Amino acid sequence: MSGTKSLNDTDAGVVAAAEADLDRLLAVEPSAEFAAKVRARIAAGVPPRGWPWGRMVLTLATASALIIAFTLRDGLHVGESGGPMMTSPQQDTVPRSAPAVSGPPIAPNTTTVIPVRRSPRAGAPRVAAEPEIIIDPSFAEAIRRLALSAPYVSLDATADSTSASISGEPAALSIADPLDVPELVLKPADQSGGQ
Amino acid sequence: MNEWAGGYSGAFVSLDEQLEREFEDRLRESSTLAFRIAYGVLRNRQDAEDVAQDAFAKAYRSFRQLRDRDRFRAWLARMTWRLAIDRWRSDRRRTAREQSVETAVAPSSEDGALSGERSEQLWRAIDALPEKLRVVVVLCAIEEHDIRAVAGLLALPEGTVKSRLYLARRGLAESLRCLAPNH
Repeated sequence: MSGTKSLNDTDAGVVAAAEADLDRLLAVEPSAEFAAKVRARIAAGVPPRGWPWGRMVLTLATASALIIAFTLRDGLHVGESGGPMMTSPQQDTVPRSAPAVSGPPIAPNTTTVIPVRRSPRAGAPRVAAEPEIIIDPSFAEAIRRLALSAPYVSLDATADSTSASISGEPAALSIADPLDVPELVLKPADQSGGQ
Repeated sequence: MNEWAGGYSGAFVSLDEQLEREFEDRLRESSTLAFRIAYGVLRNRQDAEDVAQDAFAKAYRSFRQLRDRDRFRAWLARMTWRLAIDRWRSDRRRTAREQSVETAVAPSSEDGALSGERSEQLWRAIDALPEKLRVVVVLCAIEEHDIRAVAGLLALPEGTVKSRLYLARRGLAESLRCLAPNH
């Protein structure tokens, strides 16, 4: 009670009585099963109360269900026997006009193709809907530098003809109108020297 | 001992036998300390036991670093206090309700020595203290006002504990004068 020396007598008495009461109130012992409960808690790995395990379990279950659903949708389909079976790799598009034969590949721009959904092999990366264009980074950088260095140069004519030929559509030919250039007339210079 | 060790074959990595024996010693000698600290905050036997058990479970996971007795007790005291404060803050309303029910229905032998109103005033005055002062008051009551022991548990200099204890007593005196003028 050394700390009560600075308090007045009344306060010191009040505090001394309060501390005596507190000593009695805190003279409690844990139950006889306390140690056994600690052991059981350690053995079971029970987390502290209030830990949001419920939410974590729910989140994990939802994530697992989504992963399983995507995996089944992409990699499995139900066979005739009713059980899931793995599918072999399939081509995403097949030509309509020509049946699948073992021969030289048909050029894609000469055959009308229709998309047919196939189940890809499980675990295989999904093929994107758009064809993948791979450009050498050095080429890309060169094109970018060209575009930046000549922002006002129009490459439309070249681009149109190139894209048209690639896509197989006939390029529309345009006839340029004859230029209306006034005829040059030579005049003698005046006395002022043209000023 | 075998039963104790066999129970560990679950989620936790088993300690070796020597460590398990030491942990059991710590559990035996420090369970009252942890329980009283939690009870000093929560004033509910079940909640206090739950929190103290949580603290021991956490201590078990880190027991390789807490083999020293004094270090273990200090760590356990601070962990129990923190867990109890967290529980007290989150369940303040529920704890107050259960305390009133427990006091009214089945007062403990310790509470029986004091009138319910008087103990309630005392707890209210302690709760009104800042947390730094409050833990000193509670630990002093538990450790029989041994300043050195309290300083060891809180890892504070003894002078700091003394000054905090003085401030806590002054605050207690003011609160109790207001709450009970004829105390």
